[in-house]
Amino acid sequence: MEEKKEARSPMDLLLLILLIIFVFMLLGRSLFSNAQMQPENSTMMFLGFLGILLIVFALLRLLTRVPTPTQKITLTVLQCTKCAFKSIRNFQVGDYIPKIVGNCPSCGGPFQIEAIYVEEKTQKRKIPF
Amino acid sequence: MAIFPGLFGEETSIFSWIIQIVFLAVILAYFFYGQRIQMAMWSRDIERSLYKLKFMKDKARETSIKTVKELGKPPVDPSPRIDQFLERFFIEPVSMDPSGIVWKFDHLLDVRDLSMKDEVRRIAPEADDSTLNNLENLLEAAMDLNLIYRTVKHYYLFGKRTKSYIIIAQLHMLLPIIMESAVAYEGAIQAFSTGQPIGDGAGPLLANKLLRGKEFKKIEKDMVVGETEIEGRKVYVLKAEGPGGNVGKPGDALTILLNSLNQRPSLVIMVDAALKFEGENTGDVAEGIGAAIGGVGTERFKIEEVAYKYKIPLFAVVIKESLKEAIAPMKKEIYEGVEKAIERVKRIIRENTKEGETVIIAGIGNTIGIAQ
Repeated sequence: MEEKKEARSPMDLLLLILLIIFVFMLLGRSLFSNAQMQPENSTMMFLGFLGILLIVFALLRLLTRVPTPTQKITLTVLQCTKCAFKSIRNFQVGDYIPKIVGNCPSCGGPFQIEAIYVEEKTQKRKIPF
Repeated sequence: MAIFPGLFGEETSIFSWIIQIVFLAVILAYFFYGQRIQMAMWSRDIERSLYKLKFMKDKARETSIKTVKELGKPPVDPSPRIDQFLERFFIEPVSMDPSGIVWKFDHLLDVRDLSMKDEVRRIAPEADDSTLNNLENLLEAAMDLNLIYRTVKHYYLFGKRTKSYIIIAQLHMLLPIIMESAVAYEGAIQAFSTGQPIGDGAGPLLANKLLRGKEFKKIEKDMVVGETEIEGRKVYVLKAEGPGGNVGKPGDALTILLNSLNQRPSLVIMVDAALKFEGENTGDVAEGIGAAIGGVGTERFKIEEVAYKYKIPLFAVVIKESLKEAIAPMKKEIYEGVEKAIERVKRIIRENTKEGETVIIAGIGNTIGIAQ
């Protein structure tokens, strides 16, 4: 459930394209009409500009980067109590700190679970203040 | 250039008329029904969150049933008993006359804990003590998720039935905080079902690191104490008994320990995970004065009482993390924070005590996945 957002649907994009076409039609009719001072031209121009604002907001929303789900991995750190040889593997059910899980491959001493933690793969945004 | 020339009697086309009527209709609709439109939008958001909450609590229930079947080997299907467990509640003691409320609270919490353990033992008869504690924690997290879902659903349906704008508005405003708590409990479900250490285990992990290779003994229900030496000082280290999910009763354990010692300790240092402010780094370490312990306050009360009785300075070292991180599987940053906290504890001991004196360190928190 980490940082998930709904994906942009193709319907949103289609609606935006239709809106852009409609707005340009409105603005085109109002700007390049033969009778420049017709009263409906001013209405169309007003609505056209409102439409442009709407498009800008919609585009900003659409371009907002969808955050990728955070990749998490639970690791178990094993360490030899004699020679401090370290090894890391994935967490297995039944692991706990400081369980002895066999012998050290380096010196044969007791190999102990030193830590169990979750590592996240995504880079965190740094707060500038 | 008039924006709505038709309104002022100028010549206009049918296109202009339609646009004007629609525009006015929208303004009037918003004027008379604005609140209802807003309420409908909020209701839609709440409904979406309710679907998410229902999914989370159903998943937590399924995980609980699966884990109980795997670890507890019940002879019959545990689902009906688990469903009953998820509906359990706790009635806090009345606080109109606050005198003596701590002991009433403590008694009720003990009864609650015992009855829950008994119930889990009945549901999962084959589970050992450590697994039993993990299962109890797992079912408690599922119970909390169930409670969040039921509470949000209740206020949503109540607000809709009574058409109460205020109830829906308040619920909508609280929704981000509620959802964050729910996501935190969802993370806890994973940790408790697999027995992984959680963020709140920072205190017990520090105690474990100090006690490596040393003797320890049980001092109080679910609490152990070990003895070690740091730079010439005799140090008693307290923690909850692991590796099952357990917080123990540090207040009672500290009282028993202090009453049993021949030499008055020079210092008590409590180490716990503490909630960080937004923007702060997880795993940062801070120190202060007082009893660093969460919960309803009964254990803190006991610790403050006994520290005052023996006039012992009470120091606190905290490892910063969010609520979500506290009940989710332990992050690497928190583990690294524990390493830093050990250095901080050693510095406090060095600066505030002399060689030969006695110090008590209490590692507070849930010790799931962390033994002695």
